[in-house]
Amino acid sequence: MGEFEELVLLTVAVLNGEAYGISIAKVIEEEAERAVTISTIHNVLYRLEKKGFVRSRLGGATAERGGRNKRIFSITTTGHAALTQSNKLRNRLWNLMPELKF
Amino acid sequence: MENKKPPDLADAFLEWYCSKEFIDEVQGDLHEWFHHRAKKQGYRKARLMYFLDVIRFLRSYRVKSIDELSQHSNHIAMLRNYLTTSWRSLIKNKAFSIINILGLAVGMSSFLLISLYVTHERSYDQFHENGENVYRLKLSRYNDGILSTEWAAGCSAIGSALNDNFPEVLDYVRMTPSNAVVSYRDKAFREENACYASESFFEHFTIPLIEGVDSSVLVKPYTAVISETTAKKYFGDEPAVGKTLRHNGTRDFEITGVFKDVPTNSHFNMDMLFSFETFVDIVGDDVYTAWDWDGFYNYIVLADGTDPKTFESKIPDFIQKERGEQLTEQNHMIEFELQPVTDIHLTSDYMMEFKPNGDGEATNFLFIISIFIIAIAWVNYINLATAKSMERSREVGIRKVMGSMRSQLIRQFLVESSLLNILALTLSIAVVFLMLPYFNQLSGRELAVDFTSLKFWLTLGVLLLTGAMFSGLYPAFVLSGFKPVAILKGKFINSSKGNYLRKGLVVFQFLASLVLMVGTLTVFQQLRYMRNQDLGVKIDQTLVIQGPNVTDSSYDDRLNTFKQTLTSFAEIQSITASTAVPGTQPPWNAGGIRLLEQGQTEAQQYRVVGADHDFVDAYDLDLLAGRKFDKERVNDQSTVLMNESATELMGFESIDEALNRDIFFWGDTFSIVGVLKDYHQESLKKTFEPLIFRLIPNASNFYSVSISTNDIPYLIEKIEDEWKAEFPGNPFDFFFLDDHYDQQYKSEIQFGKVFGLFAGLAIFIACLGLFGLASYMTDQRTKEIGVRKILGASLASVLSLLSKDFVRLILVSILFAIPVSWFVMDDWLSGFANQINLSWWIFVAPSILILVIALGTVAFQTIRAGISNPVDSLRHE
Repeated sequence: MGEFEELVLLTVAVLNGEAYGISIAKVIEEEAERAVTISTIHNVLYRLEKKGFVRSRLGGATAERGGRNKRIFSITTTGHAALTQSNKLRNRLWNLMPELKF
Repeated sequence: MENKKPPDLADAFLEWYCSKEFIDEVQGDLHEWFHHRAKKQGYRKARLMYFLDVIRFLRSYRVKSIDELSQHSNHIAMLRNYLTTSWRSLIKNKAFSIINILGLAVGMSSFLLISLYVTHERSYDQFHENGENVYRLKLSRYNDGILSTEWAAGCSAIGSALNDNFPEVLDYVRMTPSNAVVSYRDKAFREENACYASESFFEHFTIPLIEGVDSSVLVKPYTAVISETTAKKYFGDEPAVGKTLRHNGTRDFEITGVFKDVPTNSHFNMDMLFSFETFVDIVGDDVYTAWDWDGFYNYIVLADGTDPKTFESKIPDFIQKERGEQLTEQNHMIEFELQPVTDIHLTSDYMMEFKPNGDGEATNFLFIISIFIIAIAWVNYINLATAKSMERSREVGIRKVMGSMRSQLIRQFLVESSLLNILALTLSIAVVFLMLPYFNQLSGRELAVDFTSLKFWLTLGVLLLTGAMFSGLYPAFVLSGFKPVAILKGKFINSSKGNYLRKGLVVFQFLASLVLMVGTLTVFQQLRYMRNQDLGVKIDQTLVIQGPNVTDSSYDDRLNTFKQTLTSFAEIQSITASTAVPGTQPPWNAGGIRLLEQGQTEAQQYRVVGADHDFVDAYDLDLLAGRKFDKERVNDQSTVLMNESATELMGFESIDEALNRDIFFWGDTFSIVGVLKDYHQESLKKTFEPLIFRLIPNASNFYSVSISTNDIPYLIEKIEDEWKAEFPGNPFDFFFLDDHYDQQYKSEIQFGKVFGLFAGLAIFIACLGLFGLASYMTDQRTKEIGVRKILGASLASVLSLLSKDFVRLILVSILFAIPVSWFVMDDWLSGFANQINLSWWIFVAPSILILVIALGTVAFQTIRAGISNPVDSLRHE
């Protein structure tokens, strides 16, 4: 799982049932303070879906969207496991880090 | 107002490519993102970014599959199928496809080239902003009710007189040529395209001034405006305005402006304009009101909405009122005609045009030829497509059984013809590019393909569409009309109707080719005839030097020295000074000439040539009666020579009668001392004109030098040295008289070449078609030939059997072509005073040639069929 993939997956989990292209983009834009392109986020989401980390359903059309449906993503147990695993790995490594002085 | 919606174009594109599976989320998200971005960065930026986003989403998995694309419209799926089958049939019949594409491409290239030319010819003077209201006044003069001269540059008074008396005439421009040697310091050039022009010239003609103000540059006397190129020529990169140019070594002109070079597509041809007030200062202000003084271009500007015809019809009454008395007294009549300035190039060919104008009729004719050629190419397609219909019939049958509707089949065959036309058009654009330089040489124009012009693309579009429709529609209807049951049973009868049409089209192709060939032959025969006639005047081995413009009181002596030195050269037989040389109309056109005892009403117009004593001998003119000018006689300056035509015009019964009679010429009396045989002063297109020769020993327009040498450059160098010694400050300009004379046939030569080129192309395309048709026909009869050969037929009999049909068709087209071409060419020849007879062989030779070419084309196929082993052909199937 790539770094950006992990970030997106994390956001899907955070948004808990409200995750779709735009909401994810907004969170990443605000929290991570990085410029995103919608098409990239879509591409990543499909990749995650293919890996079985997220699942999606259609719904929630609004006027602002020109009546078009959203594809709402939610995290699967496999996705959650993957996140936890990568988080654990990180924590472990953090703990192994010697106290460095700069 | 700011647009607060995502751009429609981008949305449409997105909806077009994006598959149904993804469109909801993608477009929805993009819209939402658009509004989000707009809040932060404004709508302008957001709209721009939207485009970018739409393109970013273009990933293969999101793009509609071809099946999905065609799901919405069956047409797209069908189109794909049509294209596939069309392509397959193109590949399957390579020879036919190549014949078709080649023929079409040649036809289209001809059409494109000619339309470029025609467009150019029709574009003349269209750039004048107020052009539709500007007219030139053409003057026709009649003596005794007989038309004597038609002037592009008429009398001086008319423009301003109309301006003064008619409110609908807003303004006028008056111009008169002033060819001169112009110098600046040590630089001197002969300016052939210089004019005096009245002050409002630049206000009415859209020739932009780079420096100077429209309304003021030509107001004061002794001011001049020059073209950009001319300014470079004299001053290099220095500013021209304020500098002084010297005119013929005497008058100084201050430059007040510089104009952009006059575009080539203008009837004007000018590098330098002097203020008309200068001319008035030189000749006196009588010129303002001179009704008998010709050589002035008069342009008038009519008020918006004035009908030129109505206005023109008012002029005769005005002339009657103004000039009636004098005109009746002289038994003279003048008539003015309004020439729209935009029409001058294609319709006007009168005395003193700025430059040789185009020929409207020839242009139209050429256009018709181009349509003929492309029609021949289309006919090829129709012929081959219908001829091959049998092969396609099975496909049509199956399609119909599978439920194809007739309209769908028609569409299929139209797609096929469009495909072919597109391929041909692409090829022809390349051909046009390659051929353009040669075509420019041929046509004497500077044509270019303007890819940015809408008209060009429109022409291409129309060409493609008409081509695809015209050539595709008939085969499409024929093919789609087959009865499926009959076809699939194997019963297929080539309809006699289709046969007739096919034959008719072949006849048309060869008729058109033949007419073009006869035309080419006639043009070249007429040219040869004109160039080989005895002109009655010696023009070969003659070098003509343009006389000096910058002269002073010592001119006569200098001329004599120059003549004496030159005649002392062994290579030079004679030298003569004159005001005119053969090959151009003598510029001196004098009216009011009559016998002394005749009344004013009997006066006539004559062309006058001023010449020295040596003129008659140097030009080898035949003296029929009397004597030549004689150096020994002091008062020979009051004598004249005439040609036969002039004696006739003057009313003498015989030439001897004219001798020693006195004539009245512009207030002086001259005695006729000799009569010269008529010679061709101008091309054989024209009849002999009445010429009067006056003795002007110091004529300064032309010096004709009769030479005999093998080293012309050396001789010219020697002459130039003498020239520089005698006439300093005058450029040494010369031409060879035979070349100069031949210039008169330039347009005919051009016409002949263009004619010949397109005749060749037409024959080529027609033969391509014939080749295809013949190969198809012989294919069809392979079995028949095999059976015949087994039964003992000889090669010759097989050949005659197969060629018979074609020969018959060619004979029919010859039969039609002869009267058509006779009619057309007889009409063309009637424009020449001296014309050839359309003898039988002019028709027979091309007919035989075309028969031979056609037979050769067919023979290639038939011989192959004739010598084939019958066993192979019978085993066939």
